Amino acid sequence: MSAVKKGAVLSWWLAAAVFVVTSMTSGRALAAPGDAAHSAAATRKAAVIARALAYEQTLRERVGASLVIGVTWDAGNAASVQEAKTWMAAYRALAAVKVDGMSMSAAEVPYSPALGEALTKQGVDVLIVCSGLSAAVQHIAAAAKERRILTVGTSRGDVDAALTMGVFESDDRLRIVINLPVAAGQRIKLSSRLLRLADALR
Amino acid sequence: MMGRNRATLLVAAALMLGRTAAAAPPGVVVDDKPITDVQDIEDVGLAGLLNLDLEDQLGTTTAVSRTSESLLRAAATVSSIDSFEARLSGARTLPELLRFVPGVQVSRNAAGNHLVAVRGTAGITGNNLVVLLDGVPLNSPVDASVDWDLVPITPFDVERIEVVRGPVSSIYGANAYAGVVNIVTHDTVSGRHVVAVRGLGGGDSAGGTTGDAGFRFIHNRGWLKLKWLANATRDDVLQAGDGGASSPPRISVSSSGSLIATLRGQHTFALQGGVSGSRRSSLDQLVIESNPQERGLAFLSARYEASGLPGLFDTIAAWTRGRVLAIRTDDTQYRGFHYGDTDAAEGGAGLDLAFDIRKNLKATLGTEAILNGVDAPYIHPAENAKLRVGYGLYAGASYFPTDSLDLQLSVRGDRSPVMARLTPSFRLSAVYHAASWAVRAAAGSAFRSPSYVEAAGRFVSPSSGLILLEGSPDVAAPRNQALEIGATIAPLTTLRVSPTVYLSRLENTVAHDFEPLVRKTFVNDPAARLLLGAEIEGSWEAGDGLKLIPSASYIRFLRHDRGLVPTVGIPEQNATFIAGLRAHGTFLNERWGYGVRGMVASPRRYRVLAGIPPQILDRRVPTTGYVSGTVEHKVWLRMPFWLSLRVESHLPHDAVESPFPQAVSGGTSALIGLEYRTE
Repeated sequence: MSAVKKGAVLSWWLAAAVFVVTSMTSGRALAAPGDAAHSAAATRKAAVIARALAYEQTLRERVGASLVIGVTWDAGNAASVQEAKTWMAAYRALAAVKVDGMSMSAAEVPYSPALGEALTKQGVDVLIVCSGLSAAVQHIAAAAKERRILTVGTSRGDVDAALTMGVFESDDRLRIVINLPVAAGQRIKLSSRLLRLADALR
Repeated sequence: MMGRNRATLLVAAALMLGRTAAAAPPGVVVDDKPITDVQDIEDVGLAGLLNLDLEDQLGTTTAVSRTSESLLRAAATVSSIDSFEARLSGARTLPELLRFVPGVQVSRNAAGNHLVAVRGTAGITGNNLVVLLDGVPLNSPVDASVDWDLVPITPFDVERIEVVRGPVSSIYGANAYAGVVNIVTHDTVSGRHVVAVRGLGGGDSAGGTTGDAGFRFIHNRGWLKLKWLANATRDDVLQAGDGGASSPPRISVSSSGSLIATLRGQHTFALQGGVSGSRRSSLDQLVIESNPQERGLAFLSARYEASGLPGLFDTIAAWTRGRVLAIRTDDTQYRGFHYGDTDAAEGGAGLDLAFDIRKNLKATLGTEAILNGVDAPYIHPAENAKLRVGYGLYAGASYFPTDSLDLQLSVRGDRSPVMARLTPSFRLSAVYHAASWAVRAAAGSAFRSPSYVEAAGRFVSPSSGLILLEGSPDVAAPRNQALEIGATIAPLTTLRVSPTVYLSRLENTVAHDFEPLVRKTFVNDPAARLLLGAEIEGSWEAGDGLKLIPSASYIRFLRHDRGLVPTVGIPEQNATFIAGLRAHGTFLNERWGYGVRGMVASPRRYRVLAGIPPQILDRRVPTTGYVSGTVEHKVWLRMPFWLSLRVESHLPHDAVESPFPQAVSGGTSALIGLEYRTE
């Protein structure tokens, strides 16, 4: 075998190895952690939130040309980080879906004391608050209220405390919980069609 | 060099593959459609995304058994019209809204004079149906007929209308002979208040003017709920079918309200009331002269309910209610019978108890007492202006032997104020249900109380002094016994079909007995009539933009006496086949809304004796149709103002639905206006 031929064969092996490694690592880096079922559950919840937004009668008033879903998490909490990755992956999977004719994109907004500025900078319209941020939920709610950002909690306690809504699993079904006083404080109006299928908190 | 190129190419390919894998649909499929393939999220039903089963989607009803129960597992056939459909239907009156419910047939004599028949048994008297407004019955104290123009709401105010078909006297007593229409007024969730104002005006194809105005206020603080509704309607010139004469214009005004307080989540006090007045044509089954008449109705109801009680009792409710009706007209304009100078009142009180005996066994027990009095010139002097007493006793049980099977039995005995004897009624049902379907078998009986005119009427001709009408004190209560099999099947969360087949045996049908120019009286038809019917209703929801509701009904009298002309249950008064299609939806986050409805009814031939002195009316009604629709648009993004266009058309325009020569013909009306509406 000539040196040229050997080189060509080697380059193919090398390329194949690079292909396998790259495809595996690139997939792992972007894919949501956890198994497919976990990802499917998150995607369903993400779709429910998007569907609920289609019943928000003030959506067009407060949103620009496209809808930006921000995800915030506690960088020091591994579960919170994992949850954020799951939500990001879920919204990436729904990238082709439009709400009220608007395209939807996801933005990473790690929690910090300067959350408000980050939300403004990224043009966030809806903020998903991952678990692990209960201690900061009042701060997050205040920053969101100032900017008329609808907040979605992943912990029931956070929704009861200060966030606009949440989607929770119960007996194979999803239940939407809406905190009406918080929504009213944000001047966010939701259609009665949504409220009929939701648990409304007074 | 070549190797590096290959590696670069494959790295790029691998990166793409990796991204594709990451963005691949993670397996969420709603109604056979991957969610990631959806273009607009509004095309996906929220119920499907939430993974709700059929029972969750259908919700609950109180219309079938007077207690809250799952609609899927209810013991009778129920069709429901929600607030969106009611508002977007284009219908301006409740009967026009009900036209599309399978098994319901509507005829129109004049503006505001509708007759609603359920399962072929209204004939021309229209008192085979109990109509409830937020649980309060509004049937006339004179003959239990339903004056739809005096029901103080419009389709605009409806949260939900439930039409229960089949005999339900075991729950509601007299006159729930063919069904119940339960109207639930607009509501809002706890913590909200709602204000709505609307004004629409337009014209009809006969050159008349027409207009609607309405107001609604609802305040819900959770423990306290206040409602106030007001409406006004005017229909000017509607063309009469024969001779081109005009029907008297219709003007109706109404106001109603309620105050409901719930204390400690357990004790509920509800006060409801309303008044309505109407000036319109007098045309009726007994009044075949179309002159202006004024009618007024007022009602008041108070109810206390304690729920969630420990021990055996689940709920205890005590109630009292009453209604008064007055009818006035210029009696010099009539040659025959009219309802002028009628004053009538009916009141009652009752007690309802609900027991949780075991986890799988519930029971109800109740009683009511009724006082009724009518003062009218067409009632025999010996029977006029007398206070009459009636009562009812009832009991029911629901047993759930397994998670999938519900068995229900209800029995009731009633002695209505006009009847001498206690009349029993019952209903027995079995419902087998799964996540996406249910089948139901039911048997039941019901009765209609004879009216004052039938049992105690006397009308003396003002010109000849002859007695032209004489009631029959011995006339027995007509009875309806029915067997029914129905199903609800939902192959997808967005698709549902509900077929029903029933067989009714109509006994003691009240018939006119008269010869021309001789007094008219009433007798019972000794032969039972057999009626076979089938109904089907579907529903397909393709997101917010389109909901389609097809429906069809079929009626055939298997056995009836052609020699007698009864006041109810006349095969000729029913179209054999009716088919309808409704569609409605909203776009762009409810900034646009639309509704379109169309139906066709097969020909029918009325052969009836109507009026006093009686006349033989023989009229062929051709194939008729009805279409209506609404388009509404939210004018400003930040303000809840809607520009609304409503169109309603009875086809063909020269056809008349009713047997009366003076009845109005079809026509088209169109209204445009503005609505301010918060939710």
